[in-house]
Amino acid sequence: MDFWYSVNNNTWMGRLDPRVKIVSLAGFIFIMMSSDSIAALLGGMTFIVLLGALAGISFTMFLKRLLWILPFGGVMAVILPFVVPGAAIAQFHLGTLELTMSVEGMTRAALLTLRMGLGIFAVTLLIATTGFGRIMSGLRQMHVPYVFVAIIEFTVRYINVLLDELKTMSLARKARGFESGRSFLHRRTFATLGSQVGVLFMRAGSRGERVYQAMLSRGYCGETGAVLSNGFRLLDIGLGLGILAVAMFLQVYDAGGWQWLISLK
Amino acid sequence: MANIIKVENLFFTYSDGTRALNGVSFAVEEGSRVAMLGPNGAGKSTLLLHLNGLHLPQQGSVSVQGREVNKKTEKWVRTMVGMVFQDPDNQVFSSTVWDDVSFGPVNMGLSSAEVTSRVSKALHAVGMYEYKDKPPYHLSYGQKKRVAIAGILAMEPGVIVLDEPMAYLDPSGKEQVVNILDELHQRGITIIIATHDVDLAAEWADHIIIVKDGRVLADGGSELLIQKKIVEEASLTYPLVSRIFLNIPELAITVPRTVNQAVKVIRNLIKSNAIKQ
Ligand SMILES: Nc1ncnc2c1ncn2[C@@H]1O[C@H](COP(=O)(O)OP(=O)(O)O)[C@@H](O)[C@H]1O
Ligand SMILES: [Mg+2]
Repeated sequence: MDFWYSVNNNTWMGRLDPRVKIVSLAGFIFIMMSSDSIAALLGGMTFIVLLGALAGISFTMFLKRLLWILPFGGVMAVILPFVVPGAAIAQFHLGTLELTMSVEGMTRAALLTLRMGLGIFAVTLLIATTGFGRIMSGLRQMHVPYVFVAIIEFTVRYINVLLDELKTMSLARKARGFESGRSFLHRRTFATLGSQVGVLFMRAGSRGERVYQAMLSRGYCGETGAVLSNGFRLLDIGLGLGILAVAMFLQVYDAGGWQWLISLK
Repeated sequence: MANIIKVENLFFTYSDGTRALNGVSFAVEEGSRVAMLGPNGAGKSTLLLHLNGLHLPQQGSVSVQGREVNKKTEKWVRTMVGMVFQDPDNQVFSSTVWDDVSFGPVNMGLSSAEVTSRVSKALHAVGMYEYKDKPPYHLSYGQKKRVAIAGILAMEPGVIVLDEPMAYLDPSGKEQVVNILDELHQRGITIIIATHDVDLAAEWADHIIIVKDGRVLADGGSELLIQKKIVEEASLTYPLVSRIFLNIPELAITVPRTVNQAVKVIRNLIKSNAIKQ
């Protein structure tokens, strides 16, 4: 979890104003997502990894974050080549089932994987050089509606508290001789777990109410007034524009050159 | 000294029909240390929420510095009376300690320089300055409690209300909180705590209010804590120090409530040769 929170990155990437970083990396993702070229996407990923290297973020860190999308992205990447119609490049026989892999499917799968990878890489770079806390204050300084920021912040803050409560409840269940692991369809198991989920729900609700009360007592009134703002340096803006320029370049360059190269194959 | 808080004939019923307050009246002097004692469900928390304007009186009245608490004054009241909740997890919600402590001052619309200065002062006061960039998730319970207190200190209220400040704290955590409370008292802040801890109340408070069934059962000094009728009716126990002396009625002295009083009594007994050295 440390990865999420306070980060003391003293490289130029770490010192870059959080607002500039959020906007430029979000813009980077946005521009790159519309790319239909494998080479451009690979180029974008390389660029992010390079920025990371300059900020002392190791390549393994990026790869580790990539694992997050494996459950979803991996499955999609495996299925797509078989379901998208097009020129066949391979056929498999599974009993009576005949599976055909298509070139178009492969390309789609590769593009999808790369787009997701690029998104994960850029977000990793943002969090690892900024820290969750400063991203949140950055969003607030950008006048993102308070409720929106608060929801993200609360989710991250209270997921642990709720998980702890869940753990305590499960321990307390065991302490009174409850055996889980039997089938979920077992009636009593089902009833017990069901009512515990209910309790957890209630607790989450009453916790929310108490958190809200505590916020009111510190003068919260739906929208925080002043925001702590410190002006950013010209350098910050320059670097942010630089990041966006790279995305633009990859997009434009690729439209003329790379796509053509690949379609040749 | 003037009364900073005055509660008169206060009634409060929750929406599910539970009558939590049943005609409460008391007054608190500026700069005093008040301990509100009473069994679970007595109505202490409900009462404290009224002092901060989170509950508004359904009947009766609450006034702070002579101004009545109502819809119009509730925002002002919250800057005058700070409330530290029992479970710091409910109060400390931001992603870093610093952000959390600045929540109140930012809501007050203070300038960013003023916010910075207040947050840093408050964190120093509770000894949590080194943790300013840490996420609350990583802190111990006692540290979270201190951050919660700092979050209130940064608003610089004249009155601080703490609901069960010692609950779940280990001995050193308790001592740290007591030290903070002493420091706040030195600064002239009025402090009100709700607690079950009779020893703490005896040692620390100069004004004791005993609550039961939504009513004030007794209101006075620490001598209340050794009155059999009150202690039994409020399901409390005697302070530990007093228990020793209550078991030796032949001494025929005023039963001490605090360690210092007990030491003085024993010294006098030695001097008068009632105890052979
Ligand atoms: N949110 C609530 N809804 C309904 N009843 C409540 C609520 N909070 C407290 N009560 C009831 O009000 C009474 C006083 O509770 P409380 O003020 O929490 O007492 P104390 O803090 O002294 O333990 C109790 O009977 C309690 O069950
Ligand atoms: Mg209570």
